[in-house]
Amino acid sequence: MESLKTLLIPFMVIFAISGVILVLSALRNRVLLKMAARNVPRRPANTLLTVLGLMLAAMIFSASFATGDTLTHSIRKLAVDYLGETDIIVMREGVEFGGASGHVLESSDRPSYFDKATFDTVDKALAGLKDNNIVDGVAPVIIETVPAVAGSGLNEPSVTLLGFDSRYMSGFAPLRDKKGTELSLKALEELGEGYVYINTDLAEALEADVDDVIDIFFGTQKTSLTIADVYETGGRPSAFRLDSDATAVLPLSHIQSLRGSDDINYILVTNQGGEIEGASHSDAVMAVLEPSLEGTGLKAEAIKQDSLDEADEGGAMFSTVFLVLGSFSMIAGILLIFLIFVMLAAERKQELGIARAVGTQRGHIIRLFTYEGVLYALIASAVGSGLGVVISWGGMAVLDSAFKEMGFRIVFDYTASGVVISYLAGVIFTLVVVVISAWRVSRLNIICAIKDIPEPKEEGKRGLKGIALIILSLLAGSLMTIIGIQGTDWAPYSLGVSLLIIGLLLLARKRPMYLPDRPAFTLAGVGLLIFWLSPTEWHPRGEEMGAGFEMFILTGVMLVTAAVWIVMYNSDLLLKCIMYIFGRLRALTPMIKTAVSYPMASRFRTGMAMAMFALIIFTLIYMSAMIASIRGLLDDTDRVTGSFHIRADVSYNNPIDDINAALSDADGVSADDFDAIGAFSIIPVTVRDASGSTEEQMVGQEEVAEEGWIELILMGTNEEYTENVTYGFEITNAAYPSKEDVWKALTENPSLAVVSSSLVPTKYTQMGGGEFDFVIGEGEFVIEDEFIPDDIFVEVQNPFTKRVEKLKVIGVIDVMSGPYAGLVTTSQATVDGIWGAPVEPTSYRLKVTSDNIKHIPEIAKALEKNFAENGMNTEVMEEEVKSYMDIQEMLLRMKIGD
Amino acid sequence: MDIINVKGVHKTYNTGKVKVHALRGVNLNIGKGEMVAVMGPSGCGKTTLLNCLSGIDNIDEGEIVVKGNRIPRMSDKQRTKFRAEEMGFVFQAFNLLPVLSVVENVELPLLVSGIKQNVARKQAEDILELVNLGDQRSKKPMELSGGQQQRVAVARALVNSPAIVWGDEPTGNLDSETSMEIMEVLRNLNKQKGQTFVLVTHSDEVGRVTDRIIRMRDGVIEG
Repeated sequence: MESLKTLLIPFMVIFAISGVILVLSALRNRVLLKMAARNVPRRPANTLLTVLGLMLAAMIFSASFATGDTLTHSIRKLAVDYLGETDIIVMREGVEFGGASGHVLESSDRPSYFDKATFDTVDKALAGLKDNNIVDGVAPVIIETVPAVAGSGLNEPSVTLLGFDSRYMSGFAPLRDKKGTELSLKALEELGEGYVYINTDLAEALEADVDDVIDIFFGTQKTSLTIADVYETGGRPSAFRLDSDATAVLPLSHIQSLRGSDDINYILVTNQGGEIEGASHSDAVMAVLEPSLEGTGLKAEAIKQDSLDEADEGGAMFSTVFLVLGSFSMIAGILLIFLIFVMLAAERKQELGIARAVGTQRGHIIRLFTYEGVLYALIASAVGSGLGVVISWGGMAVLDSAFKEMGFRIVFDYTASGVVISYLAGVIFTLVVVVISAWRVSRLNIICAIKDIPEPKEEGKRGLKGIALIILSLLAGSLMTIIGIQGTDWAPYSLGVSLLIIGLLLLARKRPMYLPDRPAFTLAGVGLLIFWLSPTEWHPRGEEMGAGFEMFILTGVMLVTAAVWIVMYNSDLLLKCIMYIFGRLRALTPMIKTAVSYPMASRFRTGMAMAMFALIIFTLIYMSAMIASIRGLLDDTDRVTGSFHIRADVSYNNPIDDINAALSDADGVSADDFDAIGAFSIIPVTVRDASGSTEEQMVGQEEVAEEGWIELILMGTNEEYTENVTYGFEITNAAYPSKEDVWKALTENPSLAVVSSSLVPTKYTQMGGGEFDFVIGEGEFVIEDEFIPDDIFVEVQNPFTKRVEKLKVIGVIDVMSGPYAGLVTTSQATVDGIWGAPVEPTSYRLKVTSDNIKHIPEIAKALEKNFAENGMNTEVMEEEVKSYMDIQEMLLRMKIGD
Repeated sequence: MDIINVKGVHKTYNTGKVKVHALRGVNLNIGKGEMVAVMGPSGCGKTTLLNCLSGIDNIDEGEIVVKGNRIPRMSDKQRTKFRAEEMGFVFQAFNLLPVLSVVENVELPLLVSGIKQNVARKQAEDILELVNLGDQRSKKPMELSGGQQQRVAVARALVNSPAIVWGDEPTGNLDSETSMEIMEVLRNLNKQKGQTFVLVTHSDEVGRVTDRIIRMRDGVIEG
C-alpha cells in the first residue's frame, strides 16, 4: 500500500497539469464551458445517477486504502502494545522471541539461558550509542511463560513472567497503576522474595488483588507470591498471545534464585524516542550490536522494526487484495462511466449534430464533454472518497466484532494521503474515460445526428488508423506471447494470444477479405472462450507457467468480453429462440419482440451494459463459490483437525509426565473419555533442503556449513497420534502409497519426515505455498506430481549442539491440515535424538469417544482445570476452525458488498 | 458569377441490406447572391444534395466547388472551419441549443471559429435586431414561439455573414402566416446583404419567393 501511496506526487502532478490545461482551454472558449456547466443541472435525476456512477472508482480506492491503513495501524498498535519500549532483543541463537512478530510463543519455544556476563559485553558495546542519545537503555532480563493459580482456584495458564533489575530499567517505560502512579521496581526488590507485581489482566483472570497470594509454577516447583501491587501499563515485552495478556513482574534476582543460577535469557535494548519512533534507530544499533555478539552464540533481533515492517506489509497486503478484488467493480465502473457518456451523447445527439453543422469542431465536442465530465468527476470523486472511508469504517467495525473474541482489536484509521490519492485517482480515472468516450461521441455523423437516425455502417473501410491498429495488435500480441512463453508467465502470454485473436478479428473485417459482423465477432468470441477455458497442457510450456492475481482479473474481463460478443452478434438467433419458447403465448409475442428488439437496436450500448452486469455477476458468483467452498469445509472439519477434537498445550516448564496416568487422578475427566491422545514433542531447530544429494546419509554429522538454514519448529509425534490421525497426503513417496503406510512408517523409522504443503513447490509458483522462503526439493518435484522422488531430504539441526539429522521426506500433508499439522513432523524418537535427551510432549491432540462428542467444550474446560499447574491451554478444534472460516467468509462478504 | 458549381455528383446510402442511390449524377450551378429553392417529392434527394453541397455529407463521385473550394477534397476539419466561416444553416426543427440563451445560440458559430467574445456578442445582438428579436436575447429558446425560434435560427445562420445560407425546410414546422414572415426576413436579408440562399422546401409559397426553382426527381435535376 505504501508503494501505491507513492503515486500521490505523480497523481498530483497529473491533476495539476490536467487542471491547468483544462482551465486555459476553457478560458479560451468559455461558451463550451458554459454549455458543459449548464448541462449539469439540466436534469437533476440524471446528474445524480451520473455522480453515483462516477464515484465508484474513488470509493473503491478510498475504501481499500482506509482498510489497509486500519489494518496496518491495528497490527502496529498490537506490536507496540506487546513490545512496549523494547526495540531490540538479544537472545541465544536458535531461540525465537514470541513477541508481536507473528510467532506465538509456543510452550515448546524453550528459552535458552546464557551467562549474565555477556550482558556486560553488550552494555559496553552500546555505551557509545548511549552517549550519543541513540540507545536509551540496556537491561538483562528473564522472560518466562508460567502458569499461575489463585487461592480461589482460578488459574491463568500462560502468564508472561518478567524478571527485571531496577538498576537497568530506567530507559524503559515504568509500571503504572490505574491512577497513573509509578510502581517502583526498587521497592519491590526491597520487599524481598515472595512479592510480585501483576498486571490488571492477570488480576482480573485470577480475581486477585493487592495482598492476595498466587502460586506460579516453575517446573514442578510451586512458588507462592503475595501481590504487592497491580499495574495497568508497563511490564513489557510480553509473549504474543491474543487470548491472554497476563503479565507479572518479579525482581530479576528472585527468579535467578528460583532457578538457582545467575543466568539470564534475554537482553532488552530500548532506543531513544517514542515507542514507534525509537525503532528507526534500530539499524544503527544493530550495526554495533551484531559484531559484538560474534562468537558468543547470541543473536540480536530488531524486533520492533521487524514487527512494524510486518504490520505495514500485512496492511498493504490486505489493501492490495481488496483493491484487486475490487478491480471488477472498477472495470464495471469504467464501463458505467463510458455508458453514461455515450447515453448522454445519444440524448443530445441532435444538439451535437447542429453544433457540428454550424461550425463546432470535433475537438470542441471533446472539450465540451470533457468539461462536463470533469465537473461531475470533481463532485463524484469527493463524494466517493468520503464514502469509501465510511464504508471501510463500517466494514472494519464488522471485522472488529469477529476478531474481538480472539483478542485482536481492529482500530479504525485512515491517512489523509489515502483519501487525497483516492480523490485524485477518481478524478484522473474519470477524466481518462471521459476523454475516450468524448472522442467516440465526437465522431458522430452530422446528418444522422440531426435527423436522429442510426449511424451508417463503415463496412471494411480501409482507414490508415484502422490498419495501424491491426498491425499494432498483431505485433504487440506476438511480442507478449513470446515474452510470456519465454518467461513462463501466464499474464503476458494469455494477453498476447488474446490480442492476436482480436488483431485477426480486426484484419478479417477489413477489405478485401471483409467478414461480416456475425461470423467475425462470433469466431473471435469463441476463439477467446476456447483459449481462456482450455486446460494448461494445451499451451506451450503451460505446465511451467506461473501466474499472479492479475490472471483473475484478466480471465474475468476476457471471458465476459468473449461472451458478450457472441451474445450480441447472435441476438437475432437469441430472439428467435425466445420467440420459439414464448411465442405460443400470443398475448406476450408483441411485448417480447419489442422488449428484445429495442436493446438489440443499440448493440454497443447494450453490449456495454451487458458486460458491466456480467462483470458484477462474475464477481458475485466467484465470491459466492468461494464462500460456499469455505462453508463446505465446515462439513468436513476432519480434514482440518485430522479427526481430533481438542488441542491442548502445556508449559515446557512443567510438562505432564504421563498424561494417561495423570488423567486417572483427574476430576471431571478421565482417560476413558478419549479414544486417542496424540502427543507432540516440540523443539526449535534450523532446517535446510538436502534434496537431490547423492552423498551418503549424514546422520549425526557435527560440522555443517552455515548457509541455507532457517529456524523452524520440529514436531515429534507419538504412535497414538499416527495410528489415529486421518490427515491424507497431497503426495507421497512411491514406497508409501497410502496415508496409513506413511503414518506407520513415520513412527517405525526415525529417519523419515512429513512436511507441510507450504514448504514444497507447486507447478504454478515453483515456490512453497506458504509464507516461508524455504522450499524443499525445488527443481526436483512439484506437489502436483504423482510421487515424491526418492532423494528428497531435509537436514534438521539442533541450534545449540549443531547436531544434524538428515530426514527423508515421504509425504506432503493435505493442505487443509495447515493450522494443526506442523511444518516438519517426525517421530518422538527422532526429536529426542536431535535434542540429545528425551523431550517431554507439550502439545496434545485429543480424540473424544463418540459418547462424548456433545461434551467436548466441557471436557476441554475440565482438562484446563485439572492441569492448571502445567499451564494447560485447550482449544476446541472445530470451534477454532469455524471461527477462522467465519472471518474468511466475513472478509469475502465485505468484498461482495463493494 | 457562380458561387456553386456541381458536376456529376453521385451519392449512395447504405442502409443495412439495401443501398439507396440518392444522387445520380447531379449537375448544377448557382450564382452569387441568388436565392434558389430546391423542390421535389419526398425521397428525391433534395436534403442529400444540400448536405453534400454544404460539406456535411460526403459524395461518392463527382465534383462540388463552393466559392472556389473543392469541398470533397477538404478534410473534416477544413470543411467544419469553412462551414463556420462561409455558411449558415436554417433547419426545419429550429435546432437551437436549449442550454444557451438566444444571444448565446446566435454567437456560437462566431465563438467556435475563434472570434473574441465581445465582438461576437456585438454581432449577435446586431443580427437579432435585424430579425426583430433584440428584446428577446436573454431568453432561453424554449421560452419563444416557433416563429421566434426560427428567426433565432436565421440570425444564427447569418451572424457570421456567410456567403451561402442553406435552409432545409426552413418553414416546415411553421404555420403559413409565420412561414411567410420568415421568408420575408430571408428575402430582405438576401437583398440587403447579397448572400446566396439555397432552400430545400416542399412549399410552393416558399418557392414563389425565390429567384429560381430547381426541381429534383429520383436523384437527378429535372429539365
